[in-house]
Amino acid sequence: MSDRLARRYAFWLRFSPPGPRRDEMLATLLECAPPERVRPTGREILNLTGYGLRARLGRPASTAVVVLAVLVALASGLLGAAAAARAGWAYAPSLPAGAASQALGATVFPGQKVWGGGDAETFVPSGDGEQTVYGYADYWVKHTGATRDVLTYAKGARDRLAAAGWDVHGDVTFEHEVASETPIDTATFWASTDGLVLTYTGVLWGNRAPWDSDGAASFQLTRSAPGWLTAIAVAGGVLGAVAGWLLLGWASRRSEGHPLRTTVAGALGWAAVVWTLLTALLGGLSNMQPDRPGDEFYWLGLRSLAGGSGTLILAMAVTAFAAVRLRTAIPAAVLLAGVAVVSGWQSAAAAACTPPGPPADLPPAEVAHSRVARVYIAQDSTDEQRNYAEAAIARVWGTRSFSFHYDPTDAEYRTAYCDGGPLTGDSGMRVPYFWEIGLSSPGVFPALADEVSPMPGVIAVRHGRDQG
Amino acid sequence: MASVPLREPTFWILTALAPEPRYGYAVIQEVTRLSDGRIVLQAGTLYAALDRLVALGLVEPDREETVDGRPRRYYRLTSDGAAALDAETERLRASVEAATAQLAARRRFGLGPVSS
Repeated sequence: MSDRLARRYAFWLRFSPPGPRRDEMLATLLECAPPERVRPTGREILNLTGYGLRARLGRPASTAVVVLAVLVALASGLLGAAAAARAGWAYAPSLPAGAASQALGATVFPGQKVWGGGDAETFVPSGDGEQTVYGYADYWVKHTGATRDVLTYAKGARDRLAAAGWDVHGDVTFEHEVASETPIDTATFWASTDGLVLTYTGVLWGNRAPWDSDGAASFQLTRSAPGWLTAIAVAGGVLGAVAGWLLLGWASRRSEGHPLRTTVAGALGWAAVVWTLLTALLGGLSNMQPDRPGDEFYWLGLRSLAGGSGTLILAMAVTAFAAVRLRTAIPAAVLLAGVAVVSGWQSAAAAACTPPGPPADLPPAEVAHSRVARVYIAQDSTDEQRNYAEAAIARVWGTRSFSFHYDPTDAEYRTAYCDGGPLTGDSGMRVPYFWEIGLSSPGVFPALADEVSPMPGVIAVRHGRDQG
Repeated sequence: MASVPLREPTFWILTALAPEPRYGYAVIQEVTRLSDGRIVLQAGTLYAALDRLVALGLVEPDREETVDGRPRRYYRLTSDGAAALDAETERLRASVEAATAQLAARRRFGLGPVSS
């Protein structure tokens, strides 16, 4: 009987928990092996790993523990994949900038002044705040005679992108509808290339007042998951699943013969599993968008497990382990509490200030991912001037929302003028009123500044920090 | 336990342990012999079944020996195990008798060939 065969059997026996059973099984395996055998057969390996994984769970007569272990492995695999994906997304490439951005704009809108572009955070809330979507950059051109024929122009843009090597998915979708006596023409399509997804929308609103925008030819540019990210997420998922199986096995064996511990830990385990699976499923489903790559469902599902939900699920798991053996769970609980405290730590109260006027421009790096802007207008501006300024804000394709602030006691005054700190004395009474504007993507800001700055009464247009 | 049909490996392991305590390899050999080579237990299958049978109280460890430096743990059938095997044997006997009677009827009515 070769030592080599014994070593190989011993390796596969490591799947089962440590103890005298390993030696017992090794003796049986060696006695069963024919003299010429030098390595375990595939069937033996499968059988030994299957036995070992089951034996790690303890409670040999229980079927429920196997069902729970499979679900826990699935849930912990998802959590592992979510953590790996979250770490991986931090290294995802930026959206195109500089020459690449200009070239793309020129491909879709040749010979026209293209607005927008820039970079974005990895994930952002959708326009209505209901969903999480991949961070994107808006590109658009103001309407010309050519772009007002939205269907023809969309088809031209599609053909130009295809000629430039983009994969165009499906045909151009065209809709003509009339809402509140306003005819609306919309043409859309989507295309993708290495690591990028482009969603084109050309829209023409009819019957608009002369000072309002009548739409634009536009596209949103988002990242798609790079291939290496899938590999990282799968690796994280496998590690998470193995860890989940082993930890559940540990808890199951330790709580065997203790009905109260078993009940408490089991109930928490089931709750954590159900919570994880539902969060991932609903996170994926609720954030699904039409005409987008199919794999986004998985990434947005994993995304929903990162952050608050993931911390809560881990807290439930730690409590389950505490029910099994308090001493073991204490370090994990301390670590988890530390993470929760650090992530929820509020920065020290901002200092009071006496603003002389609108704040200075922030360094570009600080606002590269910000979707907040403010337009400051003189206190002695007329109603008409404010109306003109507001119409100019609304004309910009990428303004999502805006609100006007004239009361110095508003919390928005603190943010706008004092980085969140209070304004001293009555200094707030002397500074300009302002609109706080939500931008669809950070690169919209230059277009806002260009459109609104020339308006009479407007003192400054500033790109603010996201307060998110 | 007695009302639930035993899985085939479990049935043969109980059968192999019925007359005397045996250790792992001896159980595998005996099962192969008793089943005319139809059942060749893998080590993992054997020990998973033994773990389950010990947890259910149908089998219990008997003694340990060391032969050529290798441990041998013997297992024996408990009285509950013998009762479970007896119940399973009765269940199988009743099934076999019912099927045999039905096949005899088929032969009697000339409904087609039946291998003897």
